[in-house]
Amino acid sequence: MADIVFAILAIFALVGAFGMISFHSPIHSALSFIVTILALAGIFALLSAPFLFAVQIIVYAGAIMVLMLFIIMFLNVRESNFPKEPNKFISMFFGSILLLPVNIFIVRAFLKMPEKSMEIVEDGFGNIGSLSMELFTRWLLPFEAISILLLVALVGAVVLARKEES
Amino acid sequence: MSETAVIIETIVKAVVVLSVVAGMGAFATWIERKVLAFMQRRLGPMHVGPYGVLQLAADGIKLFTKEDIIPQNALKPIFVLAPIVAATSAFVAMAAIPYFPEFTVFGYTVHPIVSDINVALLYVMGVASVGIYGPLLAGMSSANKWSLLGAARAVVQILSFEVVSGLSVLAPIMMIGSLSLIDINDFQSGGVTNWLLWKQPLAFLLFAIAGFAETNRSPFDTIEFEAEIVSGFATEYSGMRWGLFFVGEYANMITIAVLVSIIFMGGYNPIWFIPGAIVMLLKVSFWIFLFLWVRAAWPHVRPDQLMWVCWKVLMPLALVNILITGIVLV
Amino acid sequence: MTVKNFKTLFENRYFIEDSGAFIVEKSNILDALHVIKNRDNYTLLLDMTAVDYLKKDSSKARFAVIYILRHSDFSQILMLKVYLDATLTLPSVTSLFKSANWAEREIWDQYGIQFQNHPNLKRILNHKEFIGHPLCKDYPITQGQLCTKTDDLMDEMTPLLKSKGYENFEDLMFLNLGPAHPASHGTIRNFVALEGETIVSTVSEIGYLHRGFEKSCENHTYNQIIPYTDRLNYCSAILNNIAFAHTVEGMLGVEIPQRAQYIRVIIGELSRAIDHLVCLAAMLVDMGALTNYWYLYNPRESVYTLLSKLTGARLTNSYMRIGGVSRDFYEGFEEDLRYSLKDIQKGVGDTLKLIAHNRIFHDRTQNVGIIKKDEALNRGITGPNLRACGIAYDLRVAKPYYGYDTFDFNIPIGSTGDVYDRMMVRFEEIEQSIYIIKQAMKRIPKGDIMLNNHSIALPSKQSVYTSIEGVMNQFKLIYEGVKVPSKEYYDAIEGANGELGFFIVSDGSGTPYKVKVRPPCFYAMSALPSMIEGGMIADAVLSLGSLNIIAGELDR
Repeated sequence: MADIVFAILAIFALVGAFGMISFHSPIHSALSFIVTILALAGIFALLSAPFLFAVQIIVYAGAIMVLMLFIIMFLNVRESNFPKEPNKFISMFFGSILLLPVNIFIVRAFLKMPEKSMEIVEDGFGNIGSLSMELFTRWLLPFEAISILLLVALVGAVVLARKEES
Repeated sequence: MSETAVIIETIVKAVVVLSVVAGMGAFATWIERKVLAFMQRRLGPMHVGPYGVLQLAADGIKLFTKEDIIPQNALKPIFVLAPIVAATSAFVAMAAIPYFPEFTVFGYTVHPIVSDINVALLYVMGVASVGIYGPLLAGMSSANKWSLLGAARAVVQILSFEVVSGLSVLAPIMMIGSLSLIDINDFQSGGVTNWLLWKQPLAFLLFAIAGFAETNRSPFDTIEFEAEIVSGFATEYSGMRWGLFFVGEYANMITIAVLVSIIFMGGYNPIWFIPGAIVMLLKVSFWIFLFLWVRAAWPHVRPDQLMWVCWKVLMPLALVNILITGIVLV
Repeated sequence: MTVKNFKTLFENRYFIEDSGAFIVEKSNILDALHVIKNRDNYTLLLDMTAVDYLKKDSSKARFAVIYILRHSDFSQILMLKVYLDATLTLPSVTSLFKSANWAEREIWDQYGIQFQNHPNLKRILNHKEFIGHPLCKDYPITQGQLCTKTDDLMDEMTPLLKSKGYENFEDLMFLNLGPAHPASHGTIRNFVALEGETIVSTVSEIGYLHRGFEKSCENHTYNQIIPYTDRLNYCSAILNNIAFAHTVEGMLGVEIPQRAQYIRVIIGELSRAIDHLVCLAAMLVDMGALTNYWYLYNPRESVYTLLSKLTGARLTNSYMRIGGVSRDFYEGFEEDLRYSLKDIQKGVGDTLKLIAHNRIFHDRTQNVGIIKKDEALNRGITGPNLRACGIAYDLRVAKPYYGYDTFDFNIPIGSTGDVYDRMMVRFEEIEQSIYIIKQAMKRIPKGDIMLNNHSIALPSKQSVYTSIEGVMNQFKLIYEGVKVPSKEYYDAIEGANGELGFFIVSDGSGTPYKVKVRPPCFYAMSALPSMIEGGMIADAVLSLGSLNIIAGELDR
């Protein structure tokens, strides 16, 4: 059962990802990306990580992609303003050939992993309590570092977005 | 229990929730018209059926048989997708809501919740927040300036108030220590005095206000307010496509009513001799009525005033509330 | 006359016509208006119009332009007249009076008279594809024209935006608020440039409901015009009837019987009350306060029932006649009236209970759509909209007619001139109108309701059926109309929206030579852009509603 669901979600994720890079209009690309994000959220749920699942939906689907679409909407780009991409699919093909060694490496790494069932591991796995315990004890320093990084990005964005006073 | 049985049970529950809530949503439109009518010294629908009850059916027939118009310059796939997103997200959010206490039929214990997720509250709010794509995509794809304005208002308003509702609900969660709605409900068992409403009055108020804004109800119905932006994101929609937005909106209203009842008003714990299921129904009905009452009584605010209230009043208050709760708990 | 300064400064350069109008030379008009405005305090340019003398007496000149001004004590008016030479040009006075802007555009549109240095001289009531100038006497009334092209208004918008420092308009969104917008209450088009939801600049286009009222008047007898006046401000049709009949009676030099005067006061005040009810109800709906709509509209319904019993029609009553009113009160009228007044008071009271102390209502209306005192006067705004700015100008007090000076009532005034003030002034005026009606009902005398003058009033049916004089009087009056002596005359009453005046030129026949309405909306509407620029769309909707623009009167 879990395998079937996983397969469906994985297909959704892949189709969405492919759509994102192949669509011409930014709106369609963004929408395909949302499909990928939701499929990934489903995979998190399948992995018995409900918190990650919910956060994936709230943060990525519910906020970040909304803002992306919002920006696309307000930029009001016309069809004629899009860059022409005549050899898009050929470049994509060569790009994937270039990436082939990396992919092979990843696949081999996966194959070496021990076989494990994706059924529910135990109660309390992946919920907020255990996740926060990990985050705030073992990974406290990286966690705070990431927070600072995000803060820097935020301040940078505000500075960049401010209109130059003329 | 075998896996198949779980799947069948879940599907049955999902169908029941979907049909009951859709039915309630439709009925709520009739209630809304009647309640508003009586508050406004008129009768409301009277001609179709006794007291106009069959107006629902008439409206349904009208919506289904109306000409389906898609504007020439609209982005057709997105235009078609938007109402479906709006309705689906509203219903999917209900999967993690426990409506009634568990009960036993023919020796089979039924948990009236489609899926008991341990982060149910987060899930409901998350999926409900995905509902924002409905108005956003509708406004973007309609090729109409009013729709665009409506979509802009929708995104700004709903995203902002999600912050308030998320932060306000954090304080009760800190007290309970769980995101499961069943745990939240059980925390308040033992009578009216145990309701979280008394321990977290500020959070309750903030959450209720945010609920009004997120469901686009008056006085915060800026998203599709007729006198200003014609019909907002739904300007170009007609027939059942428009109907789906409408159904989604009412489903959202019911979700918020249920959430407030569970989080702050004791959920489905029985009061005195009244069984939990009836208590829950009464609370939800009260909230729906409150939505209508407010709509009848108040003018609505301007979008920029709404943002001012959200970011400069409600959000700081929510943060202060969290801080105080934290200090008290520690 | 308190035009001392003008008389001394312009000695020998003016003369006075029979109508009392001061005639000045075309070259002097700007100076003359400057002196009259700044030295003699005629600060309100009520109206401007032109007369085409082609079929009357074109010995002096074919066209004349007339300026009607009101003194700052509001009781006296002054007419200034300029005869035009063959070039048909005149200097624009928009630098002195902003109200002249649209008025001059209208004259250009209707008569083809050009105003030099006018900022934007283009057609206003007729379509831009229209050929010719319809109020010229040589333009046949039957000559219709099919105009199809819409105006994108960028010819006005572009210079306006350039003057505000916008070079390219890529960041702006252009939006048409109207002509078919839920909040335009009729067909008015406001073309706005938006930055976000903030309105940067506005251009208004009116004339969608222009149906040639003034041209029609020139082809009908005086009594036939009364139904046309119903369609000006259709929310208070009877006040338009009264204004027109009052002006014609002034030209005839007659005073109508006491009872008719009282009836006009009572029904007129009732019309004022329901006009305000409509304005307030619609505004509150624009604000989302839906319930108040029924609270205010239901009493209006009961007044309409009463009016249909009294006049035979609900909306367009045509109740007045030259020389009186068409019918006396029916039996039981007093009872119905008392019931209706109680209804109105209940509706107003309930509405005020809902909004008077409502924070949302205050935030939405206070300091929104402000218009300052001086600006309002300069723009020619009158009525509740002017009183909301704090100027206590009401013709019922400034120049009482129909015995208004014997009634005890107050004129409510505002202080800031925002939407809130305009609404509250109207709420209070409804109360005051009811107070006046109650006093009038107590004092109303018995007697005739029509003048007993066979050249003005129709004879009784009894005499028509039994005597040859009666038949002839009836016949002459119906076929030829009331014969009004040759005159040029302006008179006004306090309409629901402000000073509702008629300027009538007669030539001794039963048909007016020219009729010009002074519609209060027209001048209020021209002030809208200055009120809404810098605000939000939501504010613009409220500002428009608070001015109570009635398209029938605006476009005529």
